[in-house]
Amino acid sequence: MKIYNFELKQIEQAAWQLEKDYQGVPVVIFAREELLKTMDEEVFIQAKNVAQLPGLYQKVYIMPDAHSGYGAPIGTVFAMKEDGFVAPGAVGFDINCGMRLITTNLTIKDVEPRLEKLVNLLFENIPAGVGRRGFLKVSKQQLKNIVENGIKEIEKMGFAWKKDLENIEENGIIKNADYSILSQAAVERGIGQLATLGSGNHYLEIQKVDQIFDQKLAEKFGIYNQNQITIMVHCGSRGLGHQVCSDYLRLFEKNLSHFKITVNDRQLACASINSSIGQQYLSAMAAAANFAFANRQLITYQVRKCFEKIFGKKAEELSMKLAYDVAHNIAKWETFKQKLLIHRKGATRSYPNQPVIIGGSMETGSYLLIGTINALEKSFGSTAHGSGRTMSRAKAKKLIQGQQLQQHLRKKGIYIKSASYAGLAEEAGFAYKNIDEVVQSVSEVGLSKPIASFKPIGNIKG
Amino acid sequence: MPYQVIEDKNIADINLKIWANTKEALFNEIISAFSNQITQTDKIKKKIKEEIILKEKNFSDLVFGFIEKLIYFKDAKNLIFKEGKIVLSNNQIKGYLFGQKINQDLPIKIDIKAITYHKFRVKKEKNFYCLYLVFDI
Repeated sequence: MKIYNFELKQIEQAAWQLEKDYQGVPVVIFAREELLKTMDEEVFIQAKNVAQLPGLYQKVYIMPDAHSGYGAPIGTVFAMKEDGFVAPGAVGFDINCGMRLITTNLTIKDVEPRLEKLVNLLFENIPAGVGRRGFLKVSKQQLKNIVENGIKEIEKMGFAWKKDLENIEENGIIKNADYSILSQAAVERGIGQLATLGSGNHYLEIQKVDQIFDQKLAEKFGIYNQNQITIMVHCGSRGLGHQVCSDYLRLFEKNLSHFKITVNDRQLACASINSSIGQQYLSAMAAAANFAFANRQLITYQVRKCFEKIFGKKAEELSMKLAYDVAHNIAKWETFKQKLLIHRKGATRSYPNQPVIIGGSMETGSYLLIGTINALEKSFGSTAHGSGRTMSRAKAKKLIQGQQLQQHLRKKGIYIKSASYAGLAEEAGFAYKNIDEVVQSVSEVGLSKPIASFKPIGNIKG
Repeated sequence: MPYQVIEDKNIADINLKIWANTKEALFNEIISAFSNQITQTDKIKKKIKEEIILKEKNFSDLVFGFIEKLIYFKDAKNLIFKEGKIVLSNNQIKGYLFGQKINQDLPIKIDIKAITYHKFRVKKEKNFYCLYLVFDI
């Protein structure tokens, strides 16, 4: 099949290999044909650029929700051996941007009459958008403890349940984080932004369970019935993580000649993992990743408080358990017969028995899935992360106004509070791919299997 | 306004072309275009003056570093600017930025997380200095 000017060979029902007319490793794209055709041209251009990075191990994988990014497409997975390179642009600016799913024992009947009050309260207490500060003011020493010790520090401060720590990727701590490596700008940008959602496609959503595909597994993760209420959080490491990526991209770009390498896109600047700057980036990235885990945990603390206030019961009584928290922008050492630095940008880890959260648009819904052995063999244990854009922000805004969209969604039973009507319009459901097709693609190719789906009823966003 | 949104490329982010007739003037157009992504530049009041001094090895890096500074001011000091008074000489800028704290009086559109190297270039086109960039959103 030919898409734009790229030849693709079908290797499975939902897997395609890019014709290798370049010097580099093969690119495999996991997507059903109809989804593949919705991918923008930049995905293929950028995937090819990634495949020509030095030191790559085996193949580059592109997920079905892929869309153009900068340097690497969103939805990219690749591995580097210990003597390979690390590429901050293939992790992304929002280090450890990720998803979190919280369950409750409430049903739609309990929440619907108080939905607007609940969403308004969440919006007041969890800052979204630009320029709003979080509830927690921390000193530089406290920030150091948070970025070096991750969720453990947050638990010590009284903002997490002990059980929460068990249900987070890497238990909420990426090792070897070093506060002293962070630039002053990274610290200053991040210190006031803990417990904030941010902007763009970040959100906090109240959902109802729509369908359960595997009852036994669903119950393992706290999902029992249709119409049960869950909460989903999508956000990351805020200005601290963005600055870490900026700092090291700049440094790596200036040092490309030192490593005697070239890259097709400056945004893919990389450094030898074993070099001092490579090691520094990994320590700074770990610090940013821990900041992101802490951020999502502090948001969870606020969510629990808001639910307690509205429903007049303790969060424990409402059974507000953390189902799971997964990163989808990160580079991590993982073992696949040998130690590899797995880069996931807009892709989720998908290990056997591990929950995977794929968040959709605020209109269409989201999924909880389970990781598979297949994923270990096919994609360095990785799967999709969301539904993926098909339309530019500018075009979406031309097609609908934020207020109009808010009213349209209200009629559909979804109450939205947004810090920005323009931002809301940019995130309209029609600007995204069909999430069901993304899930069907990863399911068909065996990268993860659906457990349950969710429909939004309330949403706050930046 | 001397900038243009390049649509249908980098669909999740913002791809811009910004231009001015002198290198020095380009900095003011960058402030205007940057602020106009986040809010409406014409609504920003000139209540705060912030000094800026920056030196880089070439003009392209200087522009890149300048945009990084705007992002830093937004996150670390909660500041957004309407315009600048900037003097350029030998890949160094010195001057002041004029703007205000981001508050609820300003209509907020979207946040800018970072400036990317992806497609970043400054080039002379006829009588204009043109900057092409992608902001991470």
